Amino acid sequence: MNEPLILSSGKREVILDPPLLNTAGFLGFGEMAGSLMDLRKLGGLVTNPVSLRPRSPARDADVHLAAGGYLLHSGLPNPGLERTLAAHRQRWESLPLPIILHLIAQSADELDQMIMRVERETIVSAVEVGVENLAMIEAFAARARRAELPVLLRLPPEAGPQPFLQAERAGAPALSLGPPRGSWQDADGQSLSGRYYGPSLYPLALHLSQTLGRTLTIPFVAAGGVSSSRDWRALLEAGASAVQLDFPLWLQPERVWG
Amino acid sequence: MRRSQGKVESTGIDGEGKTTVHVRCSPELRPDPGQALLLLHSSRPSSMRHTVHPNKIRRGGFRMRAPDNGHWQPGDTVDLLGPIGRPFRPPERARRWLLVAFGAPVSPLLPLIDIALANGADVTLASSSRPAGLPSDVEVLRSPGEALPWADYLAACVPRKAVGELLLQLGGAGPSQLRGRSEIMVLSTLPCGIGACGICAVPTSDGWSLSCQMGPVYPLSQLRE
Repeated sequence: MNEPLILSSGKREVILDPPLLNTAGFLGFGEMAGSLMDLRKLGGLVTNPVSLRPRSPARDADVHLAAGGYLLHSGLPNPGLERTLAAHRQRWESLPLPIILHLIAQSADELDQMIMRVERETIVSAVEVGVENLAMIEAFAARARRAELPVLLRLPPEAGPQPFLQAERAGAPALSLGPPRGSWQDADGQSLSGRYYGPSLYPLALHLSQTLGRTLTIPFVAAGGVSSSRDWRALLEAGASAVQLDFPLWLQPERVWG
Repeated sequence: MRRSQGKVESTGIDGEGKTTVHVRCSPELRPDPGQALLLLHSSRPSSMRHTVHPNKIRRGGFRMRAPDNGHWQPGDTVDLLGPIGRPFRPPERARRWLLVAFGAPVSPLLPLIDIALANGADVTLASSSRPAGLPSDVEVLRSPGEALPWADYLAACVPRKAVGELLLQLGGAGPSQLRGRSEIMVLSTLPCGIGACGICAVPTSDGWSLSCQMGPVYPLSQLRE
């Protein structure tokens, strides 16, 4: 049986058992996640991305379905950190799994404010920080290292293993693979850029995980195109400490449990 | 919201040469007019469920236009999630229904016609063409303008990106006799159906609203550009 992932900050610890999570953005804040699946099949619930201040949806929010997956562009709408905590704290207490709050920050100062605020919330077991700007890796990694609660730094996979190794050298305690960005242009010249999800990503995710499994000494959470239990078991065998699931959760989640 | 299997009972071809599919499903999955279903063909892998708005709703199930170009045949099973969202709620005493397909297919409005005629109401449809098989009682106009003063209930469907244009055409809240009696169905793809992805967000008087949760049918007065 697969080992649980134990994330620790030295002061607080969370056990993610089984080592399966959802990708941020796929189960909301847990409001209706239980209507899609048995949440006990996951070792933790990663929330939708939350920013310090409220964000509105993108005016051109859209989705493009391609042959091997889809692009999603939402603008990462959310009510801001304080309102998110107030609105969902009680619900999270009733859920049967640990809560990992996904944070998006524009600067190290913003991240600092958010982590300090979240550290006061006992219901949040860990934090995942989305790193979009690779220039922020070292600053975000340094902040993650000092946090009282466990932190996962989520990095985009497009640049290969180097950013992950850089984050480890900078002191990141744990890492996760984010979805790549992609673009599409339709026949009218309208373009869409967003995050890409789908089964066509799996070979790239496995390849990267195999490299990271040989080179990283800190835990990393793999993600990308997992469609079956065979897929996530292979990622764990490659060295990932846990796996995040995305598009199958909106389809037939039972096909992934195995 | 529930998830269950449905079965294809029969298929056909509509007036535009598109495949139509009749699905039998359990009563709790049968949508009301305006609600969506998220559908997966059990034998055809897909990364995302299809967002479906039936064009006919019956006791045992519904009819829809085939959501993909694959082959559909009786006996096929479909995995259904829904019904999603808030349906149309026509006022009980409305007797002059104006249905408007604004840059959108007519099909999501067709179930309302069955209800209107069953209730003895007169129906006018504003659409670019007359759908095949439409009851002869239903008058079809190219533009809703001339029928607005006549109507005592307005139901429209519009793609999300055209909401602003529709609001402009209706002059904001519309004629005074339609205030509080106008509903707009905002069409968009619903990737998740659980309010997680944010793709279906619509601006309203209360801030932005997720169409899969609080829509897709909104009172006209709530919509903003």
